[in-house]
Amino acid sequence: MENDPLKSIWKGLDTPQKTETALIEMFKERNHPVLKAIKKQAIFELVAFTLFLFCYFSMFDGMKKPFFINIILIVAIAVNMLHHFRGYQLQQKFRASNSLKDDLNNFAAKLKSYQLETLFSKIIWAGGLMVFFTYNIQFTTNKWWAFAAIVLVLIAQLFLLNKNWAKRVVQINNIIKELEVA
Amino acid sequence: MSEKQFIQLLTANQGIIGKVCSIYCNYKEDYEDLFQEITYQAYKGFASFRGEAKFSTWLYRIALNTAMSSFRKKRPQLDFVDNLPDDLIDTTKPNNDEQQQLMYAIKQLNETDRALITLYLDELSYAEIAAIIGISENNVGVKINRIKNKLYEILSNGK
Repeated sequence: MENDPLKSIWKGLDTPQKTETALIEMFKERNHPVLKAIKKQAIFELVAFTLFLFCYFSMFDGMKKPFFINIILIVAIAVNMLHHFRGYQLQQKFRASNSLKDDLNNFAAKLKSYQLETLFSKIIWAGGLMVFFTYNIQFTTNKWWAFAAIVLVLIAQLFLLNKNWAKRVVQINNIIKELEVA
Repeated sequence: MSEKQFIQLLTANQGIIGKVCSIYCNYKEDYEDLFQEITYQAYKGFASFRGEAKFSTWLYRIALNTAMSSFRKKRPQLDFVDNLPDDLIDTTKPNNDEQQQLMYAIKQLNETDRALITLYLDELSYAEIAAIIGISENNVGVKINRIKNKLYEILSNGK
């Protein structure tokens, strides 16, 4: 290969060296920044929902509502927790296959399906909570307005969440396109 | 490959991870997070390394894949500046102005161009680059020439 002045400049560039012990520490899941964040949020929600499930039966009239309404609530919470687990798996799995382009193609496909899972799990979660809390409510005009406002806020949140994931999928697809262009 | 062998190879080749982190991160916190993510991915996958390619080639693929598919915090875009802010990354150790300018010029490129030029500057052959990226050797050659021209243009504008 030709003698390139850029290569000569690059050759002298050094990066700080980590000790073997520091590298071994990095193999641990608990030190992984993304996994740590997902785990933290999942544990927080798990504790909050467990506390909620302990008191919803009496405090939120769970005992006065039909069995299927209680089941809807529990399924909604379970789906949400399962979704955190899926996010954890997406980050945790080893991603390399044959080439960078193949790896990114696989990752884009997984990310796209995770985007849909996120949307559905949040719809189920929000829907479940709304069904539970609105069951047996005598709706007046003011209550309808309040309900409509809550639904609007939830729709806006879902829209932003979906937009955020869609942006990530587009970002990966753009990288793949850039690789393909000669 | 045993875990012990993997650790030895990883320690010897950690400069690859450092360089990839340096070209994709502007802040020390992001650098450390990405370094951790790449090391973790390499550890998860070392059992799949069969020695058909060089360890360094395999590690480059893992590092670039992780860097490109991870979503870093949105930070302000960097431009050429006379004095660097204190919280900026100090992870590569440029020994002179030329190295510092090259590093900043590389960071002005898009993500795929940064990957290609890093592999080229690290003396990988077009065949090795083509295998890592998953494009033809011919395409690698065309892209490298275009990126080099872009780099020279950025470097000359920055002076």
